[in-house]
Amino acid sequence: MDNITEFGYKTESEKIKKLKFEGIKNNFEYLYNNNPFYRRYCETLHEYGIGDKITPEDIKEYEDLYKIPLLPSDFFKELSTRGLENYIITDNVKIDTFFTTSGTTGTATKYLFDEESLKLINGENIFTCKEILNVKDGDKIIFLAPPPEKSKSGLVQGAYRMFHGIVKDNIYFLYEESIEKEPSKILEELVEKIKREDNGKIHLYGPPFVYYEIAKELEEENKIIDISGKCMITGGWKRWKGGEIPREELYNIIAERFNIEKKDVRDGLGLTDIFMWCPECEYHKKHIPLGLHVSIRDPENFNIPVESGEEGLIAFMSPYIKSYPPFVVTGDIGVETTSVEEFCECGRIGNTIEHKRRARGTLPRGCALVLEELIKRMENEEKI
Amino acid sequence: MKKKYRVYSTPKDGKIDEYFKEVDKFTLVYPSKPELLINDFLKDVNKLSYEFKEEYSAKDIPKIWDKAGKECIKLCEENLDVLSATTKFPEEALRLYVKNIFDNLKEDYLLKIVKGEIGNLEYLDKFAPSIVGYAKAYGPKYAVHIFPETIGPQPLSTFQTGVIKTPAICKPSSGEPIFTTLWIDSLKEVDENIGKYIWSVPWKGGNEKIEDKLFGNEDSAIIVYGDNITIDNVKSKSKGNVLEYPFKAGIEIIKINNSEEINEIATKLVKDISYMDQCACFSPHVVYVIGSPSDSKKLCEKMAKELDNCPIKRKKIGVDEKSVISMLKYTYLLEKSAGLDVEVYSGKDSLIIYEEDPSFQLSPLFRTIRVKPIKNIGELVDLLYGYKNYLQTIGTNLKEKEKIADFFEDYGISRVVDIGKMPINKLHHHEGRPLILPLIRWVDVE
Repeated sequence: MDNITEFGYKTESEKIKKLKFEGIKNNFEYLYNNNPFYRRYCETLHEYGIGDKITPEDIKEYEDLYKIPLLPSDFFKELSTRGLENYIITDNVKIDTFFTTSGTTGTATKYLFDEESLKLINGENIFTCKEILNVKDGDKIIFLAPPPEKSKSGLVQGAYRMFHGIVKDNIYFLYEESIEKEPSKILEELVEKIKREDNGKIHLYGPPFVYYEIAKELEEENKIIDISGKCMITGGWKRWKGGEIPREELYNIIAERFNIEKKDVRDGLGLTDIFMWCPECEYHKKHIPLGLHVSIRDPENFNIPVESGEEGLIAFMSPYIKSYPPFVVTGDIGVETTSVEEFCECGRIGNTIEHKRRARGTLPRGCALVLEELIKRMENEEKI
Repeated sequence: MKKKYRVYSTPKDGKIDEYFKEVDKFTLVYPSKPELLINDFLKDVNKLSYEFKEEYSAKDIPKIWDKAGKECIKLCEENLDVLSATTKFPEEALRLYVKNIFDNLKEDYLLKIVKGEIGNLEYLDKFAPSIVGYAKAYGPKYAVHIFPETIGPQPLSTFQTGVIKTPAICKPSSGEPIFTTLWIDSLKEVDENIGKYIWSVPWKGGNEKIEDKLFGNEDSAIIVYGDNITIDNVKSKSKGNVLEYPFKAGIEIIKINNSEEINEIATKLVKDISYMDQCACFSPHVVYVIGSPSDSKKLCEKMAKELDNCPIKRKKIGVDEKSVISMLKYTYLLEKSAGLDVEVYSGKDSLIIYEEDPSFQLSPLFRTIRVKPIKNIGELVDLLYGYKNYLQTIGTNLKEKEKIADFFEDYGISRVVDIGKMPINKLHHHEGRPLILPLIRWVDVE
């Protein structure tokens, strides 16, 4: 596909649609021809009366992208449970590494990648991060999460690669060494140390529960940590104990305790099965990376998109991943808040979506939950 | 103008602040400040407890419940449209369910339950002769009923506390408050005075203003239906006696002796699966077939046809439920593509999955069932033990029902019935426990 940097979030809709169409169509063609498992799946769906028999020749225009057969994300989990991740790997693709998502319901789900796919993913992740979050070379990033050596979670690995592509080695980890002190104290000392060395912007990146814990500690002690950058949030909002973290309360307390405007508190929706994310703009709308096709589908017929504003299942297709079929329908309910033909209030082109909830009736999952467990485990290890 | 339905019931006169919720073409009327009604109840509870015992004897209660049952069938029939809007079941399904709920709410049957448990009804009214002298059974000061969204337990649950003459607050489900209201209206229609002792007050679960007070009395009892989160919540706040009826699931174990039997077996299984669309505690989640894989697949085909032709349509389901079922279907189609021995039989409103893996899995409900071949019952020993907290009813066409009960004695099973008869027709030991005994305390005078 064309280099994503030739486009921007101000590009008109038709060009963006063309970019998405060509990228996704080409990748579908590649996977249909080189991934025997995926091809069989396309045929099976037809045999079971689900849609027409779809081949790459049937994808002629943008609307045809909805015909591309989607894999339910639960299947990746099923494969991992049975140790069959290799089963869906494309012929002649050399696997270089793997990432995981949640293991909250048992085995962590494993995704295998080749370096070329990762490079392409990272290219667009970097572009999105610069365009939507305005992170620049010279800024500092503090991960409120364990370092990549301690976690194969996509939330950590994908973000590390992305930020490293922008700020190089100016990345710090709250949970790198000791967790003997309260997290807010460690963060305070780390921020002071960074400020003594340099005056660049400091951004934070981490899951909601860590922000919540730190901000609450700061509130109790009536302290403020001045970071001057953005607070980027990723991962699920559910906790092991105590239910869901209240979103508005967290935005407000973060803004207050890190002395930033609320518009600089940015949540991001992780598209875990394809290792990309949709960060919020200053109007708190989650923007879809330009090369991706993300849509809301009819829960009974995945080939039909629902009307803008209507609830359905979040589905996404990536032009970048060659190692497995990156055409996925999730078990998450969402709505499209800006269509691909419209511009968001922030002036950037759509589409934008809002994640509503995990479809009720399924088990809880999410990277943040796993990280919470990992961090707790690290804390316990320290205590031992 | 939309038809209005008041979804609370209290004997209090005077103005009660209300708010409205629209459901389809109906307006449901809720109390704006349910905590005030609860305060009124708690303020008067000693008086209510005393008067309930003074005004009624235990033997009056089965008579009133019997008559109210007949009244409630009429009331439900007259209000099928709103009941259908809140329960999402089609009207023809509701007709069947309501009839089944009240079919056995008969005076003689209710009397048998109480007599079977305590021997003599008079123990509930006064000291009566016992093996050590005299004995009397005392109930709690008051009771709270927390009802689920599924209709059904209201009549018998209120009977449990009614017959021991304990004043009670009913908390209907916020999604389906109509059936509880119709039931209490029926009781009041038969005996206006009984409404003084059975109130219905909807509130949002977790409301601390209400629950801290209402659940915080050591002399109270709470009968709670619901998922584990609801039950744990109630138990964490309750100082009184909690009688819990958590989420439960059933299984079917059938043997196919010859292929001629398949049609009849399929018809019976479909009856169990379609009843309340598996939303009830007795509903089957997995069908285990002692027989060959090919017979099991033939059974699936026949069940799929029967479900497609089922005269009672499935209840309306939302985006979440549709999503979960579709995700399951597509996941199995992927497994099929991966070469696993699975089959997917997808009907308009049903999903049958055949798979060789015999492990037990809960169904996402709404006519979704897994069919799994096994060689013999022994195979289930390890597979089911981990689910002992969930299991309730076994439906079977095997003749040795007692042997099955013995075989699974440590598995939490409380009913073994013929296939096609999983819906509870006559309830005696709910979840393996008596109905009245857990609520009373005995005093012996020697």
